[in-house]
Amino acid sequence: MFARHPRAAGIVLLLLLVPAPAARAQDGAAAAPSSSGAASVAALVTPQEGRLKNGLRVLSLVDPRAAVSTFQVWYDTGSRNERPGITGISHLFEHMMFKGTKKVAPEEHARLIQNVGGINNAATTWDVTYYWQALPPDQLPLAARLEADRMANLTLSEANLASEREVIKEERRFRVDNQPIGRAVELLTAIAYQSSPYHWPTAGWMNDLDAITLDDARDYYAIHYAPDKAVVVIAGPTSHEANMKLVEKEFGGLKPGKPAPRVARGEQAQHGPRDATIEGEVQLPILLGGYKVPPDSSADAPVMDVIANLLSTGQSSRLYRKLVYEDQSALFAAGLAVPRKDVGLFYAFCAAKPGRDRDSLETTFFNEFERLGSEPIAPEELARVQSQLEAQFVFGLEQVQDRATIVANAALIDGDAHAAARRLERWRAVTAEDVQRVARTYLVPQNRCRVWLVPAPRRAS
Amino acid sequence: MKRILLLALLLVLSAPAFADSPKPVAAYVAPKPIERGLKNQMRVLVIEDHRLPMVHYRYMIRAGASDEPADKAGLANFLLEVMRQGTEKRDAKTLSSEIDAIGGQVSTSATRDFMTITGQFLSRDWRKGLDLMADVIQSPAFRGEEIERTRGRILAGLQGSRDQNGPLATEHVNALIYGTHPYARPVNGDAGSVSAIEKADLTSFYETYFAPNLSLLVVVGDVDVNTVVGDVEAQFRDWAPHTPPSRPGPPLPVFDSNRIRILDKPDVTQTELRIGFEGVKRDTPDYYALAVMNYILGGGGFSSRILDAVRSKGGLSYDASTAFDFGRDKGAFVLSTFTKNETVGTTVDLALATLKKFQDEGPTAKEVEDAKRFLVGALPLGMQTAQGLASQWSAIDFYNLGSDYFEKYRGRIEAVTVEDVRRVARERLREDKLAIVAVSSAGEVKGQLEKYGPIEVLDYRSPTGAIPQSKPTASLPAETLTPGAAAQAKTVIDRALKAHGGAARIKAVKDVSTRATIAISTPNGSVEGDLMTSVRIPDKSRIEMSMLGQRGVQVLNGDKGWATSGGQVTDLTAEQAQAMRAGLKVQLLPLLARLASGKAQVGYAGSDVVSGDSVDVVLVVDPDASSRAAFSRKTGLLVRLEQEEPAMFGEGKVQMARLYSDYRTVNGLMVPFKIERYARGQLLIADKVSAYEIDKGGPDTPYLRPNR
Repeated sequence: MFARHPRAAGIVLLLLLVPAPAARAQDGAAAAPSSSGAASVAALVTPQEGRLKNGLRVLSLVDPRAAVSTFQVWYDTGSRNERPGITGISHLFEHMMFKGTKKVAPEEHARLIQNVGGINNAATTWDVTYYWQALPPDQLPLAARLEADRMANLTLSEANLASEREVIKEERRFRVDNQPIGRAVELLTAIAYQSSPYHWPTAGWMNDLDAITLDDARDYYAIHYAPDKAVVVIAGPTSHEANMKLVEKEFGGLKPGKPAPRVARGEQAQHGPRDATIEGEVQLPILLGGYKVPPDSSADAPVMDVIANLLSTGQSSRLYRKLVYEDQSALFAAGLAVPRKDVGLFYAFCAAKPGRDRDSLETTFFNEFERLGSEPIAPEELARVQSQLEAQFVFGLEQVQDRATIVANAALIDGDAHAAARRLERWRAVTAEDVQRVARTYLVPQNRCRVWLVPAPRRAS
Repeated sequence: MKRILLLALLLVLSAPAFADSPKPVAAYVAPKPIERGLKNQMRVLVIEDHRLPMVHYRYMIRAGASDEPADKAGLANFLLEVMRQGTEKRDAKTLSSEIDAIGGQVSTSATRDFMTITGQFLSRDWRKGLDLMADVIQSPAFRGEEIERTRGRILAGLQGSRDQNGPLATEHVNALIYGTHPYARPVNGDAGSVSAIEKADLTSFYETYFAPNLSLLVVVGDVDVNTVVGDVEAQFRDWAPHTPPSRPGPPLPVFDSNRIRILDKPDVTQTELRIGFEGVKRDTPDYYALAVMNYILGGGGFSSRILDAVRSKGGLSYDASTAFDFGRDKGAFVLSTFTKNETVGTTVDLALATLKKFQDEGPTAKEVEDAKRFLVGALPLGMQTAQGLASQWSAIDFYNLGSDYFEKYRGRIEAVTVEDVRRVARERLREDKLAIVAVSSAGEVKGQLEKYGPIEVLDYRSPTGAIPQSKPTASLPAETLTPGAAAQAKTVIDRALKAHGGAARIKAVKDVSTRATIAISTPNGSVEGDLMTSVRIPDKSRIEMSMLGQRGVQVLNGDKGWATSGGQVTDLTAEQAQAMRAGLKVQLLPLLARLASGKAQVGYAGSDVVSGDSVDVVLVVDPDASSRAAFSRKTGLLVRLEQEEPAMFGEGKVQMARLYSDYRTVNGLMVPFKIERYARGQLLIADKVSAYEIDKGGPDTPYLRPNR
């Protein structure tokens, strides 16, 4: 995921030197009967829905006790909607959207939001590009006005393109080229996906970033930045009726965009493990792995969540206990399920302690994933994971902007705006047999890719 | 006296309007805790918040990394990590299992000024969560096995942290700004200081600083204040208060020029930059004016001058910001950014010009108004999470900012005038005597920074210099050594060669063998043994060691090597052969011979004191083994040699130092009969030489691999 401004950017796969939580931010459902306020917890991510004539969808999360509101616009386009030659254009666009319209000067959007006591940011992923602000509830009209204006009237000029091109190249240098782990993740993703549009990085290849033209940008804007390709999400104390009225007022006059080109679905079959190595200036060797898994809308996705937590949440998790605590061969180790619209990738990563034998670490590491296919997990372990998922779900609802993100992801990635509210039940329904079945199907060597990031040999001075 | 909990949220909701000028910011009242003091002086703050079924505990001790002994830097962090690994009644696995079973999250954090242990749980488990927290806080187990496991994790983490250029740059700029003040030290310590920490250090730090009268517990969440406080009282009842020593706060250094440090790292195409200078304490009355000033200058994102100049207008970077790093003592002001190597000079120029212009002209009235609107209006954003609330209230308590802090906050911000901001800018910003750090490819950026002042180039893996026994290591490739430094080094070397017996005699040496009694320091005491070494210049060496009834031999013969142990013969790995080659090069006579040949790349690296003697230090650059040689000013003899070597016990590399003394004449050459080897500041091995032979001659047999 690439963000407009690093300070408020979300947790990114590339920031792998801090152990990442394995649970997914988007998930939630009705709470257990013994929790206090069970109904209100589920309600926090159960949206009310509306739609304008031009196709714009509106999702409202109403919480009368919130002191803050969020106004978000999610565009149903990401790096998977690109093609070789213009990779990185979705991310470039995320930046271009801040360069102004006739009514708003370049970079003024953020200043206007901050001036009313708000914060804002944007992010691009493989599947979506979204723009959000968190601000006092009485300032929603400002947010709506600004978002509608740039959806329809963005100034696309050579000067703006030139300056943002340099900025995103710097961002690519920051996240990928100067972070060996960024390069390693990029390579892993590229070898895992051959035919899928997930093959190329959201950052774009550097030579494509240099090649994108103003015409490319105009075409992209005309298709993807349109009400029929977007979802507005508002969370806070305002009512759905008030939200609909506001959105209709600002966005009602916009026209649908050009039809979006078809995006290739699926990924061709993998017939055996794929291995690669990258050398970099690193102190700790890093092992990255990836297993291809179904889209997040699949019935098996909650099972992958259970597996990810079983493996890496908390110090009693499988990977921590075995590799970090007992063997002391890794500094950290985790599995991470990243929600995707199409074929997903279950990421595995591990930082090796210096001087340890890498082959045996690799064997032990992947064995923890793959033995789940043959060894059933104990009831206490399953219960632990389900408690952890429930707790993380609750903890993830504190901020209105996070609730909105959870619901938007459900709507766009899973195709069901109510999927978030149902997730907790679906986790509870996962059995030990499900874990074994899903592991046996996907967590197998034939379906595995791996990249070792190792220290480059020192050059003589 | 019981206070009523205020959880009123006053929102002014008006009908949607589209005015172009911002409306007055809606009034917001921050949640305020109920305060309770226990009999043992521990304090508890509770905020009831029933919006979500969760509870957050934040436990804080009013002592931190600045209270550590300087040579045990990292002690506070180490202590907290060990505390997390088990209590008297719950070992590491049990503790983690109990936390995880209820979906809880318990973590620890050491900062310069204070230490925290936080726990977050579903509210149905509030009591169990509190029980776990109280156990961790009051009954740490300090099991030896867990201490060593933790040490291993911390050391690996320290090594890995050098892969993050941003935090690395910040660590070094702190070292430059704070000098000998405790804030100069990295909170996690460094490999040397962490290796030196023993169980007694951990227990002592715990016993000194973990006391109820230094403790604050903040509870935020779906709990009942009376029930929770009742439980806290019961859990912490047996804990007695005591008074710790007061912490010295040495002054910050006064620079007399800019100080620039480049951390040389290969393959870097984008340079991390930090520019910093002395700041202020958290409780300064100028805090509000400074908050406004910093927002305008570099804290306000796209509303800030720095980001506008460097990113929006300059296209030089993806991010640039400024921050005051307030502390209990004076903190620092740091400007942070990064840019591709080619534009480092331009970016530094632009950043400094932006600071200067701001200092000269001050802010505009609009900038000040916009800043105030943000600082007041955005307050509720940071209060959405239990953790955010707990963290802010514990800071208010720690810095004694008053329980009416939030009530007064808005008024104090709104009272800041343009003139106030202008004044603090004049008083607090500097354009000279800066500390500048760049993590980069030194060869590419050194030239761009030279105009700012004298530059020190260090290997990026080098210690910061803020921890007493860990000296930074230079890694100057030949091109960056100035001609002056090389010439100065040559003078020292010439004198040394003469003192050791003359360049001609040294260059003629072919063989050196020694026999010594060695004593190796271990945690269980000293172990004695016999050591025979021989060297046939240029590429053969043999080490034979007998100890505890075992005999081992290790030999380098040209490119390859072999070793025997217990009758078995094995080949050396490439790395081991490499290590022996490096070791050979820094044996005394081969090293002096290399210096005598004039082919080694050298530079003068300053003066120092070794065992009471004044010395001149010379850097000797070599692709296999760079080293720093210290020669006595009095005698000219080599008294210390420092370099990085593969660790003898454990993995990775280690800063080794050899001290030479008891010099006697052999074959007209002055050679040392006593060698003490230090690793990370600790004495590891002491050699007492009993026989020293030079050019004894003989066949190559001792170096040839036996057939087995």
